[in-house]
Amino acid sequence: MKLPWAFYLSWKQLFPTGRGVSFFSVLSVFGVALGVNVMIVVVAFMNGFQDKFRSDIIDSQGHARAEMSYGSSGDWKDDMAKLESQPKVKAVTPYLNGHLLLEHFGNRAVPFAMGIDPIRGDTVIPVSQFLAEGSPKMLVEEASKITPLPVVDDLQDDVVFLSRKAADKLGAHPAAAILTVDHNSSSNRAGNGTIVLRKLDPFVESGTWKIRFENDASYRITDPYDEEWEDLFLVAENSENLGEGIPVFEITPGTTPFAKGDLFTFEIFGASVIDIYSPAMLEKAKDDELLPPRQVRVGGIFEVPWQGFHLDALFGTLRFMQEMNDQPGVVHGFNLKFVPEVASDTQALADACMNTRSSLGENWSVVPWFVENAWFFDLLKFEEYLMVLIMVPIGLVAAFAIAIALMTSVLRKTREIGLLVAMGGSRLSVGTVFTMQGFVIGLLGAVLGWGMALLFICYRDTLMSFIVRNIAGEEGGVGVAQFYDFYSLNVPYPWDSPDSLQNFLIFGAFAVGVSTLAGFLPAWKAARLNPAEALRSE
Amino acid sequence: MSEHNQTLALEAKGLAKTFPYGEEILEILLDVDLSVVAGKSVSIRGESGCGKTTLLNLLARLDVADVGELYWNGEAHDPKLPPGSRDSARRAFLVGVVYQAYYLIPEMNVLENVLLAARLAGSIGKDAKHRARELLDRVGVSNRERQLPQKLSGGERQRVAIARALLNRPKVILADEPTGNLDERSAGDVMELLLEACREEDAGLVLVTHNPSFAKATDEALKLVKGELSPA
Repeated sequence: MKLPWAFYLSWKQLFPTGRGVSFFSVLSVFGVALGVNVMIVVVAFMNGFQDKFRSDIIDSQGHARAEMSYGSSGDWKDDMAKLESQPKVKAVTPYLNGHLLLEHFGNRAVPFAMGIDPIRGDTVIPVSQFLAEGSPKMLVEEASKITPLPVVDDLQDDVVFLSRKAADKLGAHPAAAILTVDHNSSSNRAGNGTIVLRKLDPFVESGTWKIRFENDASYRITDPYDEEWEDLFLVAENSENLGEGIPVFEITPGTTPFAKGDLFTFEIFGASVIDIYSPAMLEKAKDDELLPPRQVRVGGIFEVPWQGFHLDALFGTLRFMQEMNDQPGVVHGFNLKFVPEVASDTQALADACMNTRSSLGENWSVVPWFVENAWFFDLLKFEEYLMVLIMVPIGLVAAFAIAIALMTSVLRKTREIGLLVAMGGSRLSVGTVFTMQGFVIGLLGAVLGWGMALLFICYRDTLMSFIVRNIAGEEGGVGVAQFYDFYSLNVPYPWDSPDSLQNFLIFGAFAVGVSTLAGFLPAWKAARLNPAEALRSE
Repeated sequence: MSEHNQTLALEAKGLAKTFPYGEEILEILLDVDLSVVAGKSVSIRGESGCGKTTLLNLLARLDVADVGELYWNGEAHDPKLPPGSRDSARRAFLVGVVYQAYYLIPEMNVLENVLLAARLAGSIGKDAKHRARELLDRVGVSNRERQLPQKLSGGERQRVAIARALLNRPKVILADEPTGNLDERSAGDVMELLLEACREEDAGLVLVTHNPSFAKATDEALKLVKGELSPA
């Protein structure tokens, strides 16, 4: 290929014949690549954090919160119907908040309490997902293996869900089970059958439950209450719900059938029962009306990923909270979800909130999630800008290093530059030799930096584990990783997201631009050299 | 253009060059006339600092003359103007330069160094490669074409530099003390090469040298004294 000689010579000076690549080129390209990599990765992670926080916040409060100045009273169902009739609104759920005093065996906690509609609420605030996040950490490891996750249906007027911190403070737990006896004749063979605890509701009492096989098709159960063997059950009838307070077992025969005498024994620990007091009860106590604490069972433990949500928290039913607050028929507001095309565009969401408010009346406020949490995102944005502000000077320092190295090269090659002019090279071409070197270093650095950034994004969990473990240690590392949720961050590749592609292109262009400018200064000096003086220089 | 000019590889008329030195003006060259016929060689001797290299730079249009006229192969080039891109392009085709310090590009091998002249002239191709190999063969370093300059002896480097200067079949060869860094035997070989190249390529050679015997070997021996050229 006929390259212009200036391009050819600049390439040769960066990648000399016989040596492959010069030390200066390696260092410069690697320096630029590191800068590009760091800038892309930091911004990608910051965007990942923002996306995660955005999704966590929306999960914990919906797209917007609609509240009436003095709370909605008896006609809140009408208000909800009005909200549901709004064209852009997808789902609505009422809530009633407050603070309650919880006591369990002398341990106390005062969590933020939220009364929700368990079925309707899950469409706006995914409580079932929070329950999975907060899956019980049992003292006995075996229990974690076989205890089923609680479900939203477990939330009843006498059952509450506790945040992990509140549960830990109280020493309370939902129902749990361990398998103590497994006399399974089909075990130790491939395809052996299993018995799984499919459901353990909050009303199951503590005790020993046994399952004994009569043959490969039928079994009997004995419960801890009367310790009598119940009637025969068929394996085919597994998952049968025998009623509240009775665990649901699921029998999976496998390829090797169960045999007569196969015995399974489950030790079940019932859900903790906690005492609850409310401010309304204390007010009544002032009037000498002493009410006993309300006793409820712990149906599950949840974790809300959004760190801004109360760590000490309780979810109860709407009616439970109305009773505890002594506010029958009252709700404080509604969490709203909008249709996706509105939800994905902040301006559209703000407009939808304004329209909703207009149709509800002056005494309503409809606040979108990003307004309510603006302080947090402003802080994140500020942190992102600060990071870029710190990194840009680092990039400029790298550019200065390249400029100085190229300037040294100009001084070292002064007589060669004179010769090039003597041989017919124009000053513009001589200058191009050094500008091109800066450009090539920037281009290769950008491409290498992109590669490194892609690798970092691809292996981010492994790399972050390594970095965090080595900086914060094993224990500290767990805290850091949990707080920042590195492992659940959505850091998209450039081919998956226009924003990510834009970051790659901007930082690549920045590197190429700065490196080319770094080459321009020595190039300008080289081009201005008087060839006769250059040839005479020592 | 006169018939006389057509046979001249190089012609300079009334070239003068002064340098400011503090408040004084140093007169380096005064009204220098020089003509070199194609295929002939001219040597210029003189004391150190007398202006030989300055004269060569003016002849190559690498420096600016105060007054005078300059013709390369009959083409007029104003020596009073700073070197421009038009001159650069013509210089690549018409003028070949050889220096005492060789100035080979250390990042390129022997063949690439020679071909650089063709690249500068914008005429790299199979013919140029063939010509480069032919020249390397002629100057006796064809077996070193893949070597880097650092691996060559001084004599070999100068041979490569001569091959590079000849690649574009220049009409003018300007050699500034090409044997200054070489031992006697190598210097003799290099001189022989230059004179032979001048004849075979039908180019005019201007040789600046301190060596009287090399000067005598050229077709015309001149000396530069007090800014003026005269027969040696």
